[in-house]
Amino acid sequence: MSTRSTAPMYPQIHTPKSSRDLSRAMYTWCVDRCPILKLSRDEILSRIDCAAQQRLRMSGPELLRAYKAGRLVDSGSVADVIVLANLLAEDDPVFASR
Amino acid sequence: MPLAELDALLGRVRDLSAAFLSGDSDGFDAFRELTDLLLRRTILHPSGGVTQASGQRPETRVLGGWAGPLDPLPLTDGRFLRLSLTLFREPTDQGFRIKVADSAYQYQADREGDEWIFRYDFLRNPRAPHPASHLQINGVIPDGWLPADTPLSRIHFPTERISFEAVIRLLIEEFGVTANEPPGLWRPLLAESEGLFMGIRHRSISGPSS
Repeated sequence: MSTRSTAPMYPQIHTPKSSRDLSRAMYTWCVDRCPILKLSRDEILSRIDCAAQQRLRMSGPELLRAYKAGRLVDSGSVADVIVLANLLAEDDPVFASR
Repeated sequence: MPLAELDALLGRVRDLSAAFLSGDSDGFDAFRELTDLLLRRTILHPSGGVTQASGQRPETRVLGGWAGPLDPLPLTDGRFLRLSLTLFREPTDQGFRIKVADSAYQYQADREGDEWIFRYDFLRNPRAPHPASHLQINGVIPDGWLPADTPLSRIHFPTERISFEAVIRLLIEEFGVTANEPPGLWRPLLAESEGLFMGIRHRSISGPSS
């Protein structure tokens, strides 16, 4: 299984004849070259922190601890962030209570 | 739609479902490809696509847009679908199985999600006293119909676990999102995939048991 870095890389597609051609080309490119987006711990935490600050005006660790404690009023608004946090190790220090 | 093309697509759906159900590590790829295929044949804008991400937790993947689970998928109507799924692989009495830990589907007017319209969430182990599977609607009802300071958007309507295919159908049939293929293709395609999902889905009760 190959992996790819998180640096944005998009297929170099020139003069697609139609949107469907573009779609097919991107699909083929993705399947062939980037089946897995491999994220490091720092990358995961950075993304979580950025989203937490933007949406709830709190830090990423604060969001994760609030979620774990059942204190988030509306966890649905950050469901995607919670999903991303599932890529951290279960014993990651960021989940530790303070 | 030539019948041969439809048959080939249905066969591909069955193959991918079987690969996912086998519990092999390749099942993660199969699930991603199946999700991508269903979207691509229905409501996905050509610039979008489903990718899977891995991190520090073994036997775990998450699905989302090209840039990961925080990247919503562009739709043909100019709006977005926030697709966030956690998959994990674990041993069972019948061998390894790949299961969905969490899934979240949010239809939204803007990329950031500030203007969300509805969302279905499923959390296998919910942290808050909400139903594990629930629907939220970002709408308005008359004053006084809900407790003070509780907007309709904060109400978690309990649901059965909703399939991804049902969300796609809802968007096409009720919200008028244009499908990339004629109904003669996408309807049997979704029916085939959803039928397989219905047989394996994890069912949750509508709230905490204690």
